[in-house]
Amino acid sequence: MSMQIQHIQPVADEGQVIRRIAIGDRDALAELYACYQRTLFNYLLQLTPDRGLAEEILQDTLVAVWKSAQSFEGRSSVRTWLIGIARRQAHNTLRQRRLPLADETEMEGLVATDPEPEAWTLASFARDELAAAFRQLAPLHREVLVLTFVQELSYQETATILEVPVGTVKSRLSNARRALRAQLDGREEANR
Amino acid sequence: MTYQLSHYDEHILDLLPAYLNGRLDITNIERVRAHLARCEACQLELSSWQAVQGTAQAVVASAPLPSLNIMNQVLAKIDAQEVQTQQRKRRSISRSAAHLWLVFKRQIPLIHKSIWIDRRRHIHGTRNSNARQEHPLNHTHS
Repeated sequence: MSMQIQHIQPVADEGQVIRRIAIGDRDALAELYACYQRTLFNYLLQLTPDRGLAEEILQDTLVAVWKSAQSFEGRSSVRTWLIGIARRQAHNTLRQRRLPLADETEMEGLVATDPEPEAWTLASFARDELAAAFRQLAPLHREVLVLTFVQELSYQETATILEVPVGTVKSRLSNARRALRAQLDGREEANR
Repeated sequence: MTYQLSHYDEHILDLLPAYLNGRLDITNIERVRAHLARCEACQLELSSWQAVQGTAQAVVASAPLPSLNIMNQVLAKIDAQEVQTQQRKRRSISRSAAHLWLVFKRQIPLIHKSIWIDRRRHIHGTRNSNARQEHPLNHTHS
């Protein structure tokens, strides 16, 4: 059976769509995918730069959604639930293939976690420079920035997905921004 | 230029990303706004977070979409897994049936053992002797 994803409309009642998936409705799975394909794929691309691997994990995520739709209790939003599944699939796949997986404790130790004001704003850098530095960040840092500023999740939702306390989300955000600045400073030094 | 932050400033700094992504409650939004109006250090911080927000959104917006055939591949994987599950179930049922048959087959020789036959004979014999005892003629003989 061939299935074309033709529309990217928000799903009216996401809970209803998940219930339809739980009883084996494949059209409901396609509807959910049409709505969240971009969200999930962009998120996965933060965890692995390999597009083919990201697509494979995306497929595994949808298979996992198909199998676990019955266990969705609606305690979190569908978006949070889906990204959480994608994250677990990514971590399993990367671990199985012995691909680099950022050691969270190691990454957290790289920069201080106390909030500290910046001497000058990051807004003074050119967009291209910022984008290039962002792409060089560790997956752990890109991940928390994308969840916060692209998916616009709350600290609590991000903490649920990352399976860490809310305080860790806040410190990881600060660390991600410091890492971005360090990238930019490194580039400036190299250009001198 | 560097700034010294109070604990209150640090609390506000923590709230800035959520203030920008619109996930802060109204009480905290007002608190952040009031603080930003009088704190130059936090204004600078907000401006940095805005740059980070714009960068994250721009990088993601320029990312490619997944291939068009993803959903078909997902359905193929689901089909393959369902076939595997069915096969596993069938194998499990036939394994259970084979095990039951094996257990039963091992019991068959026991059925022919003389102890069972003797017991049956013994039971029959007891019944016959009881029947004989209860017969009125038996009483006359005795």
